[in-house]
Amino acid sequence: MLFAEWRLIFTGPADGYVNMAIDEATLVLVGEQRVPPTVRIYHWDALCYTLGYLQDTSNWAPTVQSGEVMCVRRLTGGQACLHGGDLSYSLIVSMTDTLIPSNVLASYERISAGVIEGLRLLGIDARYAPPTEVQADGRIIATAAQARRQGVLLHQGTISLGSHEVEKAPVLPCRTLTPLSDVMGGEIDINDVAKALGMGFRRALGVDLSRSVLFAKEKRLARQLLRGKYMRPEWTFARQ
Amino acid sequence: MVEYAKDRRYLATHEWVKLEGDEAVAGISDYAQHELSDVVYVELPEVGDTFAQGETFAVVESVKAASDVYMPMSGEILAVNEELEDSPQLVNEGPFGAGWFVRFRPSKPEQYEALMDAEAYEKHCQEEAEKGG
Repeated sequence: MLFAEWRLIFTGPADGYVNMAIDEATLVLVGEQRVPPTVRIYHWDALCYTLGYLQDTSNWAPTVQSGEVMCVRRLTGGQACLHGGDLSYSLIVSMTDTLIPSNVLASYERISAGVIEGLRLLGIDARYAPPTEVQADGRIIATAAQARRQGVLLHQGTISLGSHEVEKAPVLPCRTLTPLSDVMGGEIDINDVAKALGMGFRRALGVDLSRSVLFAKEKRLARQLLRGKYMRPEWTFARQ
Repeated sequence: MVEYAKDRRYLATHEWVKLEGDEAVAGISDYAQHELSDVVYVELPEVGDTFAQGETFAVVESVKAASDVYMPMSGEILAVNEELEDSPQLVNEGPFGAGWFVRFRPSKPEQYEALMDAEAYEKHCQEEAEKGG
């Protein structure tokens, strides 16, 4: 099956295990051409560290395994990232799709253009900060990571909105982002940012992004991956 | 300047394989390491593992991209390049030499002839670059 359109999905808040399981389910089904290329926008209902796919966490194993804070390993590379006060997105597309460059850095720039366009719709003068970040007012407000698996590109990115929740979390070494609330001088509604981000991708990628939902087969696979992989310590802590 | 070594064959997904008697050596191409930029980690299989052609046998992580590496021919892993654990930059410095990934025993040697030679692979890379690399 070939898909002329891309899909835009808002899945709202979920925990780290669920969010990572959904991304892999979509990746698998995009690879099998059973769902269209997808942009999913979501957030987090609990504080959660996501760990890079090949990241060695042995130096802080006692902390992350104590259960004090949720940790889940991503499919994407890079370093640990603390989620909670942020809005995240995943762009999942076959690597044969001509819309996204095959070169890693060029693809980051192309996809970051969607984030930048979305932020500009909110009145924020954002710029691409190579290789993987977006900045505003000289401060890093968004970051991203990629995986290229089964012939599919998974690009996961996140934009920090507010710092109040994150400040309560135990501190592990991870990328610190400046919240949008600091840049804008006040709190910002997460739904407004989500809508702007969707519009930003639509404009910057020049693609017909149709509002959609997760398919039943996608939810089924995500549930299997949730129980069989992402909730299991063997997945998250095996690389120590 | 990207190098396309003529003494081996290639997959469209940028892995190379070189036959050495009954054995074969595999890695990723010079074009691939340029595309990925600085390699920071390589996850390799275990000796004795067997893979079918096209199966993922390794993962290479570069500037924040973890990428599958696909088996160019079916076979059993005989040795892995342990140097890559401490020196993943060897993949960038010598993708056709010191940056090799695995040595394996092909179970279907006839698969080699169906792979792209250097000339066909170079053309494939040029088309991919024109696509928007």
